[in-house]
Amino acid sequence: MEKKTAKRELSRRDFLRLAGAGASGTLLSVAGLPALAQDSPTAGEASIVMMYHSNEISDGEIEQFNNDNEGITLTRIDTDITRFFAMLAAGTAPHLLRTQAPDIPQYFARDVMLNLQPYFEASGALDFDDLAAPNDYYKVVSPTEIGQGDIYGMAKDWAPDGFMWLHTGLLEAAGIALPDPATPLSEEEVAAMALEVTQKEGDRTLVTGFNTHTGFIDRFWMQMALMDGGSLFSDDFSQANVVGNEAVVDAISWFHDMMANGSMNSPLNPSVSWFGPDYANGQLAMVYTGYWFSGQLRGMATNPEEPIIGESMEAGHYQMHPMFTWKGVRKNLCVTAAGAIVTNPSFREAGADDNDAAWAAFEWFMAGAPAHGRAASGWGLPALKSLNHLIPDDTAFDQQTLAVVNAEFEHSTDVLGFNPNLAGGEPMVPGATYLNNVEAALTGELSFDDMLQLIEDETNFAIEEGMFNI
Amino acid sequence: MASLSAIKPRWRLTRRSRRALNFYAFISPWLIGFILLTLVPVAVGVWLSFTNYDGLNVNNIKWVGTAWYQRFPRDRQAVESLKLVFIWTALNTPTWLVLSFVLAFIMSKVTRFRGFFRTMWYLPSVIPVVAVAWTWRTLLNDNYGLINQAVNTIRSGTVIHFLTEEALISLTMISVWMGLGNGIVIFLAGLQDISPELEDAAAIDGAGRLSSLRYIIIPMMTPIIFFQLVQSIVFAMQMFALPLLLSPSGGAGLSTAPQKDVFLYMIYAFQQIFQRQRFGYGVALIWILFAIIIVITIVLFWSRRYWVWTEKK
Repeated sequence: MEKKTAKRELSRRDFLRLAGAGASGTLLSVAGLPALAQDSPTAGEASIVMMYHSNEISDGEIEQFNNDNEGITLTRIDTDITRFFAMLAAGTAPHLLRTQAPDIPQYFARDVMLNLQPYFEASGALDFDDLAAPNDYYKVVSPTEIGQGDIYGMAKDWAPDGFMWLHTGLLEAAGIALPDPATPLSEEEVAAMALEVTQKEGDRTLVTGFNTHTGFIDRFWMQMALMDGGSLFSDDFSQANVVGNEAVVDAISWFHDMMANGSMNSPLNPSVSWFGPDYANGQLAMVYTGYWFSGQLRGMATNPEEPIIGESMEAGHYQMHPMFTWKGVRKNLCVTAAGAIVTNPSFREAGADDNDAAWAAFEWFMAGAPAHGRAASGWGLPALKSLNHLIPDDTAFDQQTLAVVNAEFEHSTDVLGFNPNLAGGEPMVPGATYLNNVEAALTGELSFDDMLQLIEDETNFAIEEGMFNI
Repeated sequence: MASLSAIKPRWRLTRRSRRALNFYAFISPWLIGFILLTLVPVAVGVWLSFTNYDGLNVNNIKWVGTAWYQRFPRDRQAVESLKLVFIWTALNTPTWLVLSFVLAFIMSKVTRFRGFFRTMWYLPSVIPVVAVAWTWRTLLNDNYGLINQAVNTIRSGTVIHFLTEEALISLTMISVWMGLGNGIVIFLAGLQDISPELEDAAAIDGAGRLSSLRYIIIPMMTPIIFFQLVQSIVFAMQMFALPLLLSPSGGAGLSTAPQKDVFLYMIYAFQQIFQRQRFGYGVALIWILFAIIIVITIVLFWSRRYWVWTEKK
């Protein structure tokens, strides 16, 4: 993609920068504070800022990096997309930014990322052959062609995001024969089991059959449409096709029908908190989510304040199964690929020439001690295949989940085509429109067809807007 | 050699100008803060509402004129959420005002343990809204909530859908519960300011307690009621965090929407900005609400002459 050249005239961005600089300067002088020079790196030193969650990189790890890399000072700031936008506008973007797969086409279209291809090629720690499949989300040819081309970032870890977590205790109590974890259920079997295991007492729901992270609902639709040979978007991503698009409508209906018959949590039958504790406490029989959930359950099971969860773990009630087949097709894609990019220096202070230092921090985060720690934590699968041996396999639970994961790898090789014209949040516009209207659709105030039309209209409006904005 | 008077500048500050200059010099820390932290952001906010800014397009910000303002009446969800704001305000404000006043009146007559009761009523006001929301979510949950468990013991299988079908009532109940302390304290201060001699005089003239309340206390409290009314309406129309936190996901990560009965306007504006990166439209929605609040406030101030007691009368 052709690089955008900086405008020579006073752009609105320059205006914002000047306003920001003026405001900061005045404030500092008024407050009588010394200039921030003491925080600035001295000549030959690079100060690298990483915008990342605090639970994904520790202060100790950062301190170690700073001790091991003379001349580079790495600091972490909390992930905050609003702050990132403000920093971008002010030309003070962080060097390393936490991203997810849906962000990449959008960021590429707006030239936010630094091309890391030359760095990867020269790297001794990161090897293309060692990259797990979901790193393809960070390979870009154009905003509409993801999965190949130069590499702009990397997943920090990953997992197929659609495992079926079955609460064997609840299924047994409902008299349902436990399925074999080596064989995926079909979508009909999942829906039937969800309904069968749901327990009601009058208007109360004692056990809910199924739930998932609704923030990813549109990503799941996209995956199911792909498995059905269809797509939510047109090939050039200029259009969302929902109404009359069987592959998409069937995916939406599958979740919607479970909400309608009460076997899935919905706005009419909300969870007390979220699916994690509901499942762990035996109030929810099936969860459709990723391998990361194993880390969540391990953590909950060792909490002395939650002895029931520890006992359930001991009893083997938490069992991970492959993703259900959809219309006979087996896939289980990673739809998040949370990772990092290095920002384009034109968005950093005066086009800061510290890419090498930023790369050093990136390489260390992706292949060094933090990557080893993440692999061994069980919260995700390593983004480097060479670290797979670190995946936990000590307990019966670890071994059960690992066996299922290993069998699922070959079904996790595709990438989803996210739309470069849409914001890549949780959910994106199609999912958000659904969630805003699902209650009305469930109570009959809005027909299902009208809701589909709304999803299509809203998404297309947002796409049109996104194309105008790029 | 020229005399000193000859090289003195011709212009001299008048005493009045000097005083003005001193005044502004003294308030300059506040003034600069006000300009930088209030006026500039407000101006940027106005400007944003006329642009296509989406957080990432810093190199391609375009002026879109009044497009976002024109979109509002055609945006079904925005209009619906604004209607809901009026319904919610009409429910919350009178409930809060009446309850606060009644409880303050009762407490003004109680001499023993007044401090204790005042503290107890005020306590919910100091609890962070997140803690309040999660506590009530847990208490009111359909299936496992304490209140529905109690209802279930009385009649098995019965559920009161506090957080779904009755979400608006529940929101009002929780919000009033949280705000009562503030309301009571201000009403109580006003009530204690009314001279007991007035009530004594009325009693001597044969007025009962109700007559005294109706003809003396309430009229004398109207300036306080007016203040509380304006505050309450402004607060209610901007309600945001509580319904979001009571939503099925507890407001986490915007991964769901609130129940449709409490899908208030500010939540919709918030979604537009932070979920859809539609800064221009989101900010335009907020300016529209601002204009509505200003109009309501002007009407209230205008109506003051008809019902608010002042000493000049």
